[in-house]
Amino acid sequence: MKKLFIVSVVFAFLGCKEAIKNEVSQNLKVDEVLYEFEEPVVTENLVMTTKEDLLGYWVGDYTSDITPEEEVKFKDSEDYYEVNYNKRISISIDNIIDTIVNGHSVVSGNIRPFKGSLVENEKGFYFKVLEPGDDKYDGEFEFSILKNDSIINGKWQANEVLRIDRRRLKLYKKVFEYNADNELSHEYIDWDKSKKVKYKDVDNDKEYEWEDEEYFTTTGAVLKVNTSKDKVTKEFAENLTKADIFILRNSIYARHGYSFKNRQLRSYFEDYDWYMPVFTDVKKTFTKIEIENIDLLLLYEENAEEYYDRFGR
Amino acid sequence: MKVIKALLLGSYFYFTFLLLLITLQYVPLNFDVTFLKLKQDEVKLTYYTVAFFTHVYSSVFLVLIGWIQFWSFFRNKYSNLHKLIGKFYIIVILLFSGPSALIIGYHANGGVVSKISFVILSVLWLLFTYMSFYYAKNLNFKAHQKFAIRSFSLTLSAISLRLFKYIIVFLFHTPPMDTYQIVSWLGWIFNLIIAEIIMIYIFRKKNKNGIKIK
Repeated sequence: MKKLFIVSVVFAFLGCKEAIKNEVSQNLKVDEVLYEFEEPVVTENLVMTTKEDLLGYWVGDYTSDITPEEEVKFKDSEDYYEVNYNKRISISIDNIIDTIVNGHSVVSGNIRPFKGSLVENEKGFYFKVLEPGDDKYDGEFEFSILKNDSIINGKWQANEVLRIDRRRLKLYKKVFEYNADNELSHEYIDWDKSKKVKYKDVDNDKEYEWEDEEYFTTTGAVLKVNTSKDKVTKEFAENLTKADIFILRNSIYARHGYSFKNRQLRSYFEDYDWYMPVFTDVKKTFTKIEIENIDLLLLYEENAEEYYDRFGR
Repeated sequence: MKVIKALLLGSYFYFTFLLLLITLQYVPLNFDVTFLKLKQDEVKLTYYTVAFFTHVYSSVFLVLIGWIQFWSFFRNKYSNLHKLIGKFYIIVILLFSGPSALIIGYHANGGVVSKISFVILSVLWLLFTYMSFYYAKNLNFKAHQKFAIRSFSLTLSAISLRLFKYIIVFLFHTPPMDTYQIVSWLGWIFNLIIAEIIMIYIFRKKNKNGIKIK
């Protein structure tokens, strides 16, 4: 009996509170250096005549500019991070003071500020801007736009030797417009957040064991509801996983053009043509139905985080 | 056999301890905590809140003391205490835990599926507990023992329900409410089956043609 008692006490202290509840909340991975930008005052002119017209948000293709010979050189490279030849880029020109330009770019969810000069003549506007230079993938942009034109053309040159160290860009000005009809169309996977899981299987009487990563992903449930239009019901919310709730809740922020501080969220919503990371505070613009949905979802998000894979409440 | 018994008892104490921790989340009286946060509509009903806290505060004692009743050494040596604890157990279930379980079961999450399950569970729990008391009064100890085992197996569904939830989520990652509906049934039916198996085992060993053998 004494032994038993000891065993149970040991058991009890092994598990303790973590067994019934996730005590440590998995906080979002926020960028190490938060880049706070000044929201530009945007005109709706899509044809450029003055400097003020340039302010705002530009989107377009960001394609590799390296020659086939150079590609061969990097053929055996292990650096898959850079394997994407055709990316999308968003550039925000935040302010222009005389000839000084400040802005930021968003590529694959990475947000980088830039600063440089603007030259204006009768023909057009000519930018030469630099990224801070403390990141491996920083470089220099040169782009220009003719007066009375609406397309920015330009290039980017990396500071360091990279697999793709030169890119071309072609950008169109995009004016933000809130639209509740913008829908989610695919599931979310957070490649940064995973846990190791061991699997076992028996095949031809041999036992196999392997390890795999299990990622924080949503289920198809996120595609069933538009949180800006439909009132989320209790019955629907209570069967959602934490990732589902997380994405559904943040899709409201996305529709209002919130610039997420979390890289994974930025890169997920960047896949949607309608998403524009242009504002730093959008709470004031939420509709009544959105506020109600956020309140309800938050309740279940907390519960799902604390109790879903634990002994209980 | 001894090792298995020790392991079972060890894990029983461990999970009882976890139940105690769960109960402590509701101390002091707090309407804005864990489970109740998701039951905002029900919290407005006074009878629901009363039933909820009655159930939370009273039920934990049943798991804490229940095991003593099945310890034959204790039962033989301190039969008066056995009776006293038994009365306490029966009063707590019949007057507090059981009726309150019926009320909160009727308001359970997970729709009709889990509501039906929890209501049946509560009714059986009340019934088995009363039967156990009734047969003890009539000195029919075999029947008393049978119903006491059934009653306690349902008491232990507090643990098995949560344990099944943990296992099912771990293995299949089912959505929260689907999991809840599954365990609302599995949690007590599994226990009842185990209880019946245990009874077959116990009563086969002790009696053959009505004669006690050793």
